[in-house]
Amino acid sequence: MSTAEASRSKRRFDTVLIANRGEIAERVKRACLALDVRPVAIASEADAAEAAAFAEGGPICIGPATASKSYLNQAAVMLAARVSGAGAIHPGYGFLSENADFAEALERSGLIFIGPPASAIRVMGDKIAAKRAMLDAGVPCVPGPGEPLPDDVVLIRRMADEIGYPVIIKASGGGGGKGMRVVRASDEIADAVSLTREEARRAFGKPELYMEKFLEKPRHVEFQVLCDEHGNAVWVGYRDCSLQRRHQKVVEEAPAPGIDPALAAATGARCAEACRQIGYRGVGTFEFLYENGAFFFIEMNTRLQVEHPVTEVTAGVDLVVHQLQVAQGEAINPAAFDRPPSGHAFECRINAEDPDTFAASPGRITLVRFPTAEGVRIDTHIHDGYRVPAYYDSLIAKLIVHAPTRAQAIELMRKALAETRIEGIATNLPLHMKIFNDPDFIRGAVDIHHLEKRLKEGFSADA
Amino acid sequence: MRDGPRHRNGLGNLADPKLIEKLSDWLEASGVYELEIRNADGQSLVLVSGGSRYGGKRHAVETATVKAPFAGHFLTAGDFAVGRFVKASEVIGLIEIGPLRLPLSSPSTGVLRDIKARSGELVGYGTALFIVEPTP
Repeated sequence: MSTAEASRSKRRFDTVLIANRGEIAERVKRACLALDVRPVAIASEADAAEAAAFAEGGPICIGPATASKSYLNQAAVMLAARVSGAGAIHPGYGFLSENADFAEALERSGLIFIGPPASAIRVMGDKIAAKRAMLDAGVPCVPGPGEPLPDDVVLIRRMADEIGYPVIIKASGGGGGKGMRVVRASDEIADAVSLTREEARRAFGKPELYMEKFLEKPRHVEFQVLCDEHGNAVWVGYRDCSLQRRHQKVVEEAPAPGIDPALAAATGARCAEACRQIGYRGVGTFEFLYENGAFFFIEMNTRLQVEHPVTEVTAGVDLVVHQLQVAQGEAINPAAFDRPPSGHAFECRINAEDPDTFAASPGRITLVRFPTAEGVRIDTHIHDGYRVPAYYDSLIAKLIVHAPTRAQAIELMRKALAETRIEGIATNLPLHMKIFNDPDFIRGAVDIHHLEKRLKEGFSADA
Repeated sequence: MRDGPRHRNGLGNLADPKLIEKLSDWLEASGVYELEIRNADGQSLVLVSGGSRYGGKRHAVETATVKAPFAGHFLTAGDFAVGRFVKASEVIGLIEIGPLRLPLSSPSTGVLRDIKARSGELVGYGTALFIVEPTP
């Protein structure tokens, strides 16, 4: 028996069902083929015709266009795995990727879920439990008591002084900007508490209040982790995803500019430690707010992220290949990840949407041309004649550039954007062009409100 | 599709095989299962995805299609062959998913006009499997 045959015979699975669609299905397929694992695609009726050329034999149509009856239909996905002889399911991102019940159902039925154990998804899915787990592991969280405020104002003032101003007082039943008040000094506490409590009583029927540190202009910075089932956990770089519109990331970069590498390394190491403590497996992302030189944990995503390529190109790793290897039971070599990132990377999410109104723009793409140059990577599923269905996320491609410095990466992205042509539908390419010509963005380290502010005021290039 | 507006169109002879071929391609590409067209002379054409029936001046024959309710391996039941008489709710095929076998029944009493998949073939949700022409 050859070495290759021997390693194949030890494998837990040789066929992977990809329970997703679009660019990420293509991305996972590529990793499967790199490891000589057979990928099996699924499709809804809306995607079936377009995906015909996807893999040998084509995708298995598992349901109608509505996601709840196809990509989110756990029974249909599992039955498709059964008929195709798949031993494992890769959930991609979105859909069933962070569904603990689904992961558990697979574990019970003898199928491998390419992701963390159901228990870890559950802990991290519960915000309070996640915060507690992070504090236990020494990961910094947004300061605050994490329990309802007492009635005594003197006590509340003492807590606020300890957190440091500004703080935000929130009604526990509130949301959407209602029932919350920012307090900037100690002498404002008493009024703010009584007003917010009264509001909370009237609007939500619950006088319960919470308090935490208020971050005015935070950045969104996140850490990538990778863990195996043998107790090895590493962090693989960090990304800045502050350019967001309505909490949707638009542009991501790695590494996050202007952050002390020693602080980043210490935070990354704590994330890896937290993974060991909760028995994590596979890839995951710790999301933080970053302000005034400090990180505050907000949540963990227990799956592969859309923006994983910026980490891959700067760290020189294939995260999806690692996901598959870890699911096969292989051990990772922590020493292989112990090196600084190389160069700088950006990712533009190209969406089928109007660049001004952001209305979805489904329809037939008459022509697609992507640049091919050193340092340019395109993750996509579209081609000439592809019809963008109206039923799903509008992401049609990711344009990723990698260059030795941030300035060179910006230059390369401008060139790549200029050379990209997508005709027949509207895309947000013009918005990306504006972003990569925005002086503040070029300077780096903008906060999470920057893009919305620019969209409201207009980009300086417009003026 | 049958409830659509019946406006006059510029289509020529509906019996033209080239036209039928073109319409069939459009049907397949758009994922529409059935299309009924009438031209200015009162000729009608009913196209069923994957096949068509020229209706001449008469109204075309209605057929019923049995589609796969799940992805699985298609199996024919018994000796059902094209042209055979079938009864309503008679089991004419199966979908096999591992140890599971789901019966596929005829929607009406009539004649089995077509079997669209091979026995043992992996079929997806919504794949047309049988065409049954009901007897009046």
